[in-house]
Amino acid sequence: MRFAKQLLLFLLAVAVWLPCLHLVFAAPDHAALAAPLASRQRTLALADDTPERALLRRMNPEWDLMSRTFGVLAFTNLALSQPARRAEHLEAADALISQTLRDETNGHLFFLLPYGRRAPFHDQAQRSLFVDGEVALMLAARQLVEPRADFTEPLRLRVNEVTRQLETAPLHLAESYPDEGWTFCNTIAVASLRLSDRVDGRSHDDLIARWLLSAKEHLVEPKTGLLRSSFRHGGAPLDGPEGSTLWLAAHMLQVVDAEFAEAQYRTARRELAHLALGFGWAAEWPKVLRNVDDVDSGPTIPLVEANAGSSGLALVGAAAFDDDEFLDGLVTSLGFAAFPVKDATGLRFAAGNQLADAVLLYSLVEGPLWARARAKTPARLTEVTR
Amino acid sequence: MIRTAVVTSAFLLFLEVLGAREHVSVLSGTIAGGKPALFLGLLYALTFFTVVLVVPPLLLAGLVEKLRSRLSARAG
Repeated sequence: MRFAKQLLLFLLAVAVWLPCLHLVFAAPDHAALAAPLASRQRTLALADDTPERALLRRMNPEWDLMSRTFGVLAFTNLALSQPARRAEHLEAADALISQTLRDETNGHLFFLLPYGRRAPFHDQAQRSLFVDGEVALMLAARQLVEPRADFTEPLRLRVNEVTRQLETAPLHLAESYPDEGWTFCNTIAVASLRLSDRVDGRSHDDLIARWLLSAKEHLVEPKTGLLRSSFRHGGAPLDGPEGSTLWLAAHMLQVVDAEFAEAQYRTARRELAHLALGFGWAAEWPKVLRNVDDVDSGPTIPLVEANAGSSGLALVGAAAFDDDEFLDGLVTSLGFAAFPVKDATGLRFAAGNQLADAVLLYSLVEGPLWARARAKTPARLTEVTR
Repeated sequence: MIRTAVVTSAFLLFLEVLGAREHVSVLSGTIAGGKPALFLGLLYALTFFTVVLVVPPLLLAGLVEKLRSRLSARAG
């Protein structure tokens, strides 16, 4: 009898506590999170070889390159939104770019998982769109803020390389790994073309238009209307839609086809996003299409379907599409389940890694760079006429 | 109930002192330090979620129960 009474009291207390729980972890002031995150990311960027980077590379060399890309995107946005600290933010972006250009001389396999060596690429030059696209995006983002003379030629060469790969690939869908193309990388590549065009006044509109047509025809999964995450050389479907691809792909598409991007985001939001008791999280796969965990997706918590990779990149999507309700829910979940750690260098989240922190920072500061990329007048001309 | 809440919280504090919080990176698939780190990370995460989700209701229910028994003792 006593136990039954205790249990009833406990359940009543749970019913009172759970709806209040999000108030403990909510962080409505996103800028207050961004500043210490940026401080730590800056320290890591300037330090070059760090244990954090070594760990990332040990887990997955792709994560190393991606953390640099998100770092550059974050710092270029900060350079635009905080003009008084532009030099400081560009210094961090430049450090990441210079390290990447240096490491890229080791070959594209430096940033790929070992299975990248198992077979030759169909691409004649044996190059990965994952590497060329991300390097091109980093350079274009930097140049869009403030052109640096010694980055002009590296950007032109990477953009030419991205163009060649997209032009020569069947259906304009290029490989990230031998016989394996990723929508994530293809959308980054076309976004890099748009940013670069804003920098140097060239036009890749025709190629971008053909890529979009092909993607809408060959990459959209019919049951959900969402972009598949990967495909074979030649365009045959590989993996179906995945949150860890979709949120970022929709964001990249914003600079090439805003309407298509919006439609992808809204559909992904409906299929993958969860909000409950003030917390937000994202599933990796739509309910109608199940898949298996892979290294890029990260673990999924059963029952609630919360996936680390998808939830992390959902922050970027929610921020980019001004989905404040979802963004607030996701940030609240970070406080609850990502284990923030503050120290002398700034802020990090112990449940993640350097890449996760870079993605979060980017989601909190993104906006100005994409606004400039979407402007009709090339940034170079804007600078000249100012 | 209050005792259970205090013991669970003390165990979290013990894990914190051990530095187990550093190893929760296992939640994102980032494993630095092999099996002991994996175990510590998962144990810390489990204990933390227990403390956050269960300890406040335990305390609340325990306090209400104590208050109720005191009131009935006074009335009796």
